[in-house]
Formats: sequence, C-alpha cells, structure tokens
Amino acid sequence: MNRITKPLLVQIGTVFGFMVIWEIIGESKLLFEGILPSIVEIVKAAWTQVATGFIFPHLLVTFYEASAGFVIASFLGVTVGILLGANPFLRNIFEPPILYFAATPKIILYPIFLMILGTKFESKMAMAAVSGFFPIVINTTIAAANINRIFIKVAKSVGASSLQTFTRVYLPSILLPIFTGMRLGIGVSLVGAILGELKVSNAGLGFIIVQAFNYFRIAEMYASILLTFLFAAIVNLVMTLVLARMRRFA
Amino acid sequence: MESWREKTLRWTFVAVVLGAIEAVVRLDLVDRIFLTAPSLIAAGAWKSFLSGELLGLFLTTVYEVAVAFAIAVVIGLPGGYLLWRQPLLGRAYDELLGALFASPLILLYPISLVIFGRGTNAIIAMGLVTGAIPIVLNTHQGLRDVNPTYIKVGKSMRLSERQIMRYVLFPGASPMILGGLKLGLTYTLISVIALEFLVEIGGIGTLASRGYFWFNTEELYLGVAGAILLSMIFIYLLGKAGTRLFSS
Repeated sequence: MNRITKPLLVQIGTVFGFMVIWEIIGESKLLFEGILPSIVEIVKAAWTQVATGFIFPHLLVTFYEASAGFVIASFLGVTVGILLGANPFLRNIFEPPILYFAATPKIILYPIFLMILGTKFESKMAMAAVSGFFPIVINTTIAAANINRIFIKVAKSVGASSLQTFTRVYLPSILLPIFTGMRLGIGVSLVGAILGELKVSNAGLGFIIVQAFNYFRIAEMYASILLTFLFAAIVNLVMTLVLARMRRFA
Repeated sequence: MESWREKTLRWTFVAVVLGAIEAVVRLDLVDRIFLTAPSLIAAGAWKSFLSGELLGLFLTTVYEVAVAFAIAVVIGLPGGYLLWRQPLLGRAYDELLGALFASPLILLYPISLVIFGRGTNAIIAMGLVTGAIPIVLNTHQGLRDVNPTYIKVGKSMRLSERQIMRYVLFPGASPMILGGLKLGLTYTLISVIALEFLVEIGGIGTLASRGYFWFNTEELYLGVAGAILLSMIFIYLLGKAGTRLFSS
C-alpha cells in the first residue's frame, strides 16, 4: 500500500463507521423516534427530491440570491480593497474596523435587511453581499498594499495616467489574490443567503430545510441538507478549478 | 504603531455616521420603523440594563461560548496531538476535517435541534463542532512544523516523552496552536450568536430576532448592536491575549 491508498482507506472506513453508528443509534430507541432515520431512507428522500424536480426551483432561487449578492460583494470588495490598498492613510483608518467586522456574525444584520428590503429575494441578496464582501475586501486590500512599489514608480516615470496605472499595474498584480478572496467569498455568500432563507423566506434551499423541520419530516430535512452540502461542494470545486487554471496563467 | 491622528479620524468617522443617523431619524427623514436613533437605542439599552435583562442575555451568550469553547479545546488539542502521533490518521483526517471546515457546517443546526432539543445545549453543540475543527487542524499543523532536529536533540538528552512534549513540542507549536485557538473561539462565537438569532433561544442574538417579529425597532437595533459589540470585545480580548502570550 502506498501513501495515498492507506489514508483513503481510513477515510472510507471512517465514513462507513459513522454510517453504521448512525444506523445503530437510530435503531436503538436511544433517541426520540425518527430523529435519526435510516440512511437508506434519507438517500431515497434525496433521490425523490431530485427525480421529481422538487428541489430545482429552490436551488435556482438560492443560486440567484447568492450570485446576485456575490456580484455586489465582489464589486464593492474589489473597489474598496484597491482604494484602501493604494492609500496607506485610508487603510490605517479603515482596515482595523473592517477586520473587526469580518469576525462578527453577519446574520445578525438580517432583520435590518428584512425590514428595509422585505422578505423576498432582496434581503437574502443583501445577506449574501455582506457575507461575501469581507473576505474579498480583506484579500484585495492586502494584495493592493503589497504591490511592488517599483512597478508603480516605473509606470509613473513612463508617464502612465492613473487609469493606466490601475489597469496595467494594479489589476494584473492583484488578480490572483482577488480571486482567492472571491473563492472564499462565494462560499460565505451562499451560506449567507441560505441562513437568511432558514430564518424568513418562502423559497430556496434554506426554506425547504426549515419547512421539513417544522413539519417534522426529518428524512426530508436530512435529504435537503445533504443536497445543499452537495451544491456547496460543487460550487467550491468549480471555484477551486477556476483558481487553479488562473494560477497557471499568472 | 498607529498614530493618534488616525485613531482620532477613525472615531470621528464613527461619530459622524452615528450623528448622521441620529439627525436623519430626528428630522423624520426616514420611517422610524426602519431606523431608529442611536440615542434611543442607548436609552433602551440603559433601561434593559437596569432591569437586568441585557446582562442576562450577555451572560447567557458568554456561558454558551465558554462551555462550547472549553469542550472544543478539550477535544481539539488531544485530537491534534493524536493526528500528529499517528501520521496515517493525520493524513486521512486532515483532509476529512479540512473538507468539513470548508463546508457550510452551520447549516447542520436543524440536526442539532432535533437531537438536543430547542435549548442552549443545541447551540453549545453547534458552537463546539465549528470551534473544535480549526483547533485540531492547527494543533496538528503546528506539531508537524516543529523542527525534527529539536526532538532528536531532546531524545539525545534522554528526555522522557512527557518532557519532550512539555519542553520541545508544545513550545515549538504554540504560535500555530494559539492561532487555532483564536480561530476556534471566533468560529464558536459566530455560530453561537448566529444560532441564537436563527432559532431565537439563548442570549443576545435572540434580541434582534424578537425585535423584528414584534416590530420593536429599538430592540432590534439594540440586539444587532449588542451582538456586534460582544463579538468585537471577544476579538479585542483575543488579540490582547495573543500579544501577551507572545511577549512573555
């Protein structure tokens, strides 16, 4: 056995062991009945949600909210990040509060969005935007602040305008860190939108999870959570691949 | 070191924003159901503080965070050590835990609710899960990064395994472990407050939720401000603790 297969076996063993323990506890009446439904039942419920097409409109809603929020987050994050990165004075003033805010639970702002934007899509977009903003702005700021000063001096010495300096010097040298921030950002944007849906909504992945929870359709709830995780993993994978591709070009 | 000028400007900016909100509300430029004046929030906070409610909510949150974090540490440090001692487990679980850490773990909270019931235990359980993972991962990483020569030197001086742990391994890994603890506490705090808000049980996070559902704008903003303030205090103290440990 080599270095790769052995850990893989342990991983598979762990997942399998987890499933066995799950089934045993579920059967044992140790917990209140129905709390840990059989995995077969969960997978069946997940399959039903996919096969009947039940999940897709909700998936679309979540995707719409998260991506709209993510676009806003990227735009604001990159703009503010470059502004702060290029200007040490502004950076010294605003970077500490941004770092502090980044570590607070953004979902707490959700009731404000609900009040101002209503209970439909817009409030979830705002959640996604606020959640995704921080990793993007932080990464962009750091990248823009650490640009080789000589590049900028050279650009100035050859008479580049500030727009040219921005597009020819700043942008190319910070593209990779920006994308790293965006990869983190899209994940938290997604979670932000779903958390919003879990609290107040009438559509989306978070909505069907909380609906199943409220009506104690536990297998369906696990199924929806499973599919949501799958969706998040796919988004993450795609972003990772895009990033790897960009690395090759950079 | 930041200059006093920057500090002053930062606080002036905060004051100007708060003053602008106050003015906008007082001049009735915006519906008071949407936005309320900072002074009214402060008055509400004072009243709530006097009645003991605010303090109770804060303490509940701190209690949940403290219990969750304590368990996360008790699981996380030995867990990281175990992964280091058993490299096979280390390689296998580093990937598994890394994947879990990158996944939206907080969305598992309905499972925590059905297992532990709608109470603080469900919140503590979620807080400890989200907090333990970075502690395990960082402890493992930190121990792996300790220069093997140091351990060899320790062995050649006939230190016992316990002594190597005490005098070589953990001091060497401490910056990384400390980073893990900070990360763990931050994650615990975030999930605790988020869950308090989402399911409306427990401490300060419930206030914003209640305020929203009862159209009590002051309470809502008090909840939001309280939750943000509490997190910031935690992070501030963490930073302080970090610099103190490193300077000693």
